[in-house]
Amino acid sequence: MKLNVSVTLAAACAFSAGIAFASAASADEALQDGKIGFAMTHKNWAIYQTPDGKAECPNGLNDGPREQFDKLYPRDKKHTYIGTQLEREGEVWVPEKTPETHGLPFYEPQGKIGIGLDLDGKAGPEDFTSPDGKVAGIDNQISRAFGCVASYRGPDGSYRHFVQSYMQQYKYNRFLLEISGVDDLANDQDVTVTIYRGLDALLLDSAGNFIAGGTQRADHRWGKEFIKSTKGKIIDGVLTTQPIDVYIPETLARGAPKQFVRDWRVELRVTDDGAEGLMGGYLDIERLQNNLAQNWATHFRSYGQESIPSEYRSFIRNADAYPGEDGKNAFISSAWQIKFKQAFITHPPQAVAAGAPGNAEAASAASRE
Amino acid sequence: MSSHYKCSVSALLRGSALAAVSAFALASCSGPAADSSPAASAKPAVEVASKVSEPETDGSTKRLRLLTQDQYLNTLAYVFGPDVRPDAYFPPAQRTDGLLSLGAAKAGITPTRMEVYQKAAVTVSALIVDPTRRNFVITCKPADEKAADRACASKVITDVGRLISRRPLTAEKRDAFVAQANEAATKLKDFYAGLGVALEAMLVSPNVLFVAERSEPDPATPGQYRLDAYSLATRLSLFLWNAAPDDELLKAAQSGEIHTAKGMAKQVDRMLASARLDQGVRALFDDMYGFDTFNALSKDTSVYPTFTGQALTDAREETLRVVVDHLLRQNGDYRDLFTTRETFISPALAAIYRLPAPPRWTKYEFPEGSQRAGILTHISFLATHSHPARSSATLRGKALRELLLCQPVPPPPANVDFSAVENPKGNLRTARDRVNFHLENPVCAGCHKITDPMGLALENFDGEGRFRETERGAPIDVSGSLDGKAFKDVVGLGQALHDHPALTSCVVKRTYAYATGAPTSNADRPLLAYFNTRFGEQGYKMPDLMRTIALSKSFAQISEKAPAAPGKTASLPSSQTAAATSN
Repeated sequence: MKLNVSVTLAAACAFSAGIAFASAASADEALQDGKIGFAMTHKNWAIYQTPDGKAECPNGLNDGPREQFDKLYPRDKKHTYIGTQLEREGEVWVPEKTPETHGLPFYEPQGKIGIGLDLDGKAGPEDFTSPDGKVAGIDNQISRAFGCVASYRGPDGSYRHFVQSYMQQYKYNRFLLEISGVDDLANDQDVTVTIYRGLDALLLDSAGNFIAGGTQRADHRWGKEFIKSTKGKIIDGVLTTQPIDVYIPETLARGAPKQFVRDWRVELRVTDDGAEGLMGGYLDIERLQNNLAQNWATHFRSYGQESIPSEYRSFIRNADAYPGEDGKNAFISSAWQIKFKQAFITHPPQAVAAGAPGNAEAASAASRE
Repeated sequence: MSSHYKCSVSALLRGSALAAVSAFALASCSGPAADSSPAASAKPAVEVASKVSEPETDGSTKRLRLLTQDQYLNTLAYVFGPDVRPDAYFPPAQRTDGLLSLGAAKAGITPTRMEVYQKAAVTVSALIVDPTRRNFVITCKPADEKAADRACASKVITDVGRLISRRPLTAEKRDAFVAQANEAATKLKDFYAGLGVALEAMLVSPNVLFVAERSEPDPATPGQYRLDAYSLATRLSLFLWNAAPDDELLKAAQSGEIHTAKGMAKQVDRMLASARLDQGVRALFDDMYGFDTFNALSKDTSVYPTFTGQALTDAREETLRVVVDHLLRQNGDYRDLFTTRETFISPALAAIYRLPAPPRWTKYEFPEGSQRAGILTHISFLATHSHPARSSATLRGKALRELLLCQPVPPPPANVDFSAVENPKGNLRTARDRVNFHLENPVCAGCHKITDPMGLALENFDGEGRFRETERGAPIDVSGSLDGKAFKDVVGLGQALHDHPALTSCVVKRTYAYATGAPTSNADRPLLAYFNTRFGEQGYKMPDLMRTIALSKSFAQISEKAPAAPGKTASLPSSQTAAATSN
């Protein structure tokens, strides 16, 4: 580690002097000075799906805003503006914590098979087992809210489509992950994993596919709250990390483009070209509802048949961690299927001088000063 | 824009109040100034004692050649300002004896080509007389902008004509252009529009587009011919700057100073110290290294997704930056170009080199132990001498022989069967497997033996220049030999090339041919040997070689016999007859 710091300091001096760049970096390798960076290219809620969906969603997919509106306010009856559109809009913004008052049905996935991570080390009655049966105790209760909603199901759910589209179009949602202290990318019992928000577009080939080898500047100015480090290990090419509370850049939350995740961790197969696997943690259901309801327009939700009042009640029902002042669970276990492409993560000179990369907390502290 | 830039026209006008204003304004708007710049280039030449002297020769060949695209554009930029740069794409010349510039002596002007010149001339003349810039480049004011003004038109045409024609216009030519300007101004009721018509005509005149070298008897050597002063100035300027002579060089021609040893040395040293030398050296090496290949280079993006259009442009620029930096800024040994780990990286190239991208062009040094050393390991060389979807040890070896060692490799026989080596399902996994297959066929083996051992050393780099250690899962063996010198990897190849005697003799041969505009012949061997010896004595410093060539007798003298009878000259006219017919 001392060597790393001195090398990065040297690099910072060279950079600030306008001389050579990356004197510590050796060309032709993704893993340089024990560090390798990745930029997220795909992120989808981890939802177990069978080919026809009948096993997990025997009642079919849920109604969305348009279908529910038709059922609530039949067209053959006279209605007032306040009693229809404004009433339902109010329920979107301020959903009750009680069961659906209108008696509208909401179908949650059935069965015990699910995708995700065991967040609490226990195998509870509501937990899932992986499709291959090898992993039990999977905590992913949010999949009960999303599993039978068209918007979140693959391959072309509306939400999935826009998340991917925005991944390519915008930069505010750039999620970077850097592994440092790596001796061997296949097996290393002690590595440090630091996440950042990036500032740059993803590297694409001429066909629009994400490719490795791009460069991402870590946001040490406006993205300080995203910078967090944790320890991890790589066993047979799979990186796992210790849980840590983080903010992650969120694609579809443009008003507040971040998501707070407690006990966040990853399980990723890493190579020098990219990484792929799962990310999990507990989400604050109030913040999640806020992001979904307030920053994602009804017409988008209508494409994907996604009813916020119904989903919110499912969040409440399935919340499984971190009780609030009322004693009820305020967080819900969640999992995402994610992919990354290798990218070189660069840091501004003052952050490098303060110890980053590889010492993000020091960098973060330096940028606070 | 650098403050080292200014217009040559302004330099003409020193002494007038308007000129002073113009020169001041132009200092921030135009091309690199011809006078020396502290940032520029070669260190002042230091005479190194020599054990050899220049052999007696008949001199070089007098040529008629077409101005190249870059020579044309550089000249416009230096005369009128760097923003006077039309989107002109002149048809390429035919590569001759390893150089495109020699093909410029074989080119003609077709109607289509003339159209390209015409379009460029229209654009340039419009820019010159444009109201927003005319005060910077037109150094007089008409009495009435809505009418012809003979005096002002004559001054502009005289000044500009001398610079772009590389010698003063004859009175007859000048008067013809002035009459053209006046006639158009009267008809259009606009002095500047009329002047633009005359400038357009000047820009497409044969005296601008063609470099017609003229000779005259050398008074110091009876029976020997030499270039006339303006031809010598033009040859020198095209060699060192890849542009027309500036005002000072034309003055040295006009006074005859350029024909004195001291005067010529003064001009050569001034030009070697100029920032414009960068463009001259870039042009020489861009030509010598065959970088015109980039103009038509394409890669299969499904195989090489990072090889973008920007990467293609930047790959050429990277090597030229290294050439200028190493040979001029550092005054380095030419041979070290093939071993140096110093280079420049752009954001587009970083993805291929697998490096963090710098925000802009940035100097970078490949670390010790890396397989990147020397310009052979640049993306430029690796990508241009590969197929669109795979590398080629043969193409790379051939390029190395032909471009760097001046050793021509015959083309393959017309009936060669590539099916065995190009079968994707075949069991030939690595390039070495494939070229070894060639060696089993005696018809192929002769040439492949001289190309492949070097090309295979570059197989750690794929068709876009990205590093790899395996091909189709098989480890790549990059050992080889170059004319008896064995090496184990590409770094060793670079060193073997560095030490190869043909490396320096080749650059000498190419530089002399480039300087004089004609291919060398067997008769030039003693002269080239002399240049090569001097090159070695001076530490293989490129500016010194260029100085030696420029100051040699052969550079200025012409191998021309006295004409058999007046008026029956078969080749180019001597200056006396040329002056009467050409201008």
